[in-house]
Amino acid sequence: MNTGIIVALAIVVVVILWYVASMNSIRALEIKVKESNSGIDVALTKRYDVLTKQLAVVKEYASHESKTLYETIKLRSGMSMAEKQEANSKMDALTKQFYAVGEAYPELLSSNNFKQLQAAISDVEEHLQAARRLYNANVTAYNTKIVMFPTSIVAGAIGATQKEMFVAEEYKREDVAMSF
Amino acid sequence: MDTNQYTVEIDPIFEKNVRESLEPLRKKIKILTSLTTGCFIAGACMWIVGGALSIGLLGLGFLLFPIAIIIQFKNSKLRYEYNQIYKQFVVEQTIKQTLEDYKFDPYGRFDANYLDAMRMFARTVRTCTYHGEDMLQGTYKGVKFQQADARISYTVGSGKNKRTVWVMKGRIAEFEYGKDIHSSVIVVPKKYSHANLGGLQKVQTENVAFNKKYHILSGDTHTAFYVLTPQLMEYIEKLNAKTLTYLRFTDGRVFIIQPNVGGAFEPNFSRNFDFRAEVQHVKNDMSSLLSIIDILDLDDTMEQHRNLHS
Repeated sequence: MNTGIIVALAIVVVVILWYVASMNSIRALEIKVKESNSGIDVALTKRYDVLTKQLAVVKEYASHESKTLYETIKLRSGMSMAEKQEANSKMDALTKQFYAVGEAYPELLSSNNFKQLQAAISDVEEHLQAARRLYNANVTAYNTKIVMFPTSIVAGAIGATQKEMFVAEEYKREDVAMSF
Repeated sequence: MDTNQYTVEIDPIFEKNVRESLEPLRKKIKILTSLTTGCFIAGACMWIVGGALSIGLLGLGFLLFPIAIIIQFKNSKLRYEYNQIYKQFVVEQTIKQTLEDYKFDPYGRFDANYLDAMRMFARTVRTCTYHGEDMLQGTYKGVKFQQADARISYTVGSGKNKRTVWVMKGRIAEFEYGKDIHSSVIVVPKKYSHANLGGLQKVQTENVAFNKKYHILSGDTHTAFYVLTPQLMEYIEKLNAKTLTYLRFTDGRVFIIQPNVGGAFEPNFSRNFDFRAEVQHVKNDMSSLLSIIDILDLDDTMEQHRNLHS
């Protein structure tokens, strides 16, 4: 076997190894994105559960509008990122209304149930924020990987496409609307 | 935290009594320190130069070393006495007027077994030389805490190659922590090589600059993101700009280790005793400790935790 063939074979082997390594690293990042995506699902479900309790606590004071808003929030498996963002925005709106009820009824605000729920809301929101940041960090790493040359060639070949970030509104900074 | 946000009332008679007890002691300590240094230097000079001139000078040189040691021994006793009065009447009085409840033990420290159980350092503390003092336990804004000075070292090599490696020469503080976490999260500046990094996985946050400066480890990535909020990362940066700081969050508590900072509540022998200046000095030490509660929002987190579990 002459040297030229050996060199050509070595190059082919190196290219195959690089291709496999790149493909694996893209897949590994994709798995991380999927895992953190399910983290968002868990956090959203927790938030929804707290919201259910929240509505039970303020049901005597809650308006028809907020009950209707609650009924429009639907969580199901396999939701797209846009659907998750929409559900999250509705939960933000309901939480805002919950705090507004507290402000309007001091006896409710000072009750243990209300305080406990406030703490639970903060906690689930912090978990959701953590899940969102983790997801976005993984998506950034994944998206960067698949657009950078030369891994972009492998990404194109295996059909890897850019993932969407989870964008949450900074609702806490807005003024609370008294809709009750 | 503003160091003057709490006032310490000083009774003038008490102040006078403390000053009259401490100032003469301080002067003696200063004189004895100068004498010890003088004896060592003079002894060394006579030993080096005198040897060539006369046997008498050489002998005198040798004699000065034990004299210096005796003076130093006497000096240590005086320092001990000074420290006792200082810690009882200056430090403890200031703490008493600052904290809701407290326990101060000038000779207390964190238990070595406890530090090992908390997997603080790469080296087992029990196998090191460990000195600790100024154990302060208390509650501030509803958050329980304890802190103590710690000097931990071990020796490596033998003979001429024997040397001391310092694990830390600073302070350890432990605070109650309200977030429910089921895995530890640790943040260690990459410059510090004695932290225990075993058994946890590396975490990359979204903050690239932060990732470059610190080892971030946790048993679970979500927990790391839950604990390390962007605000907290910013605070850790600020804290590390002042002094090297290593943080370890575990369920129900957070440890803050400052390996290269001087001991807290230490008297200054070089300047005249001024009660008010000393109180301010203690207040500054208290402030650097208690400000951690404010900046980490440990009081709010604890309140949230209590509400959640009420």
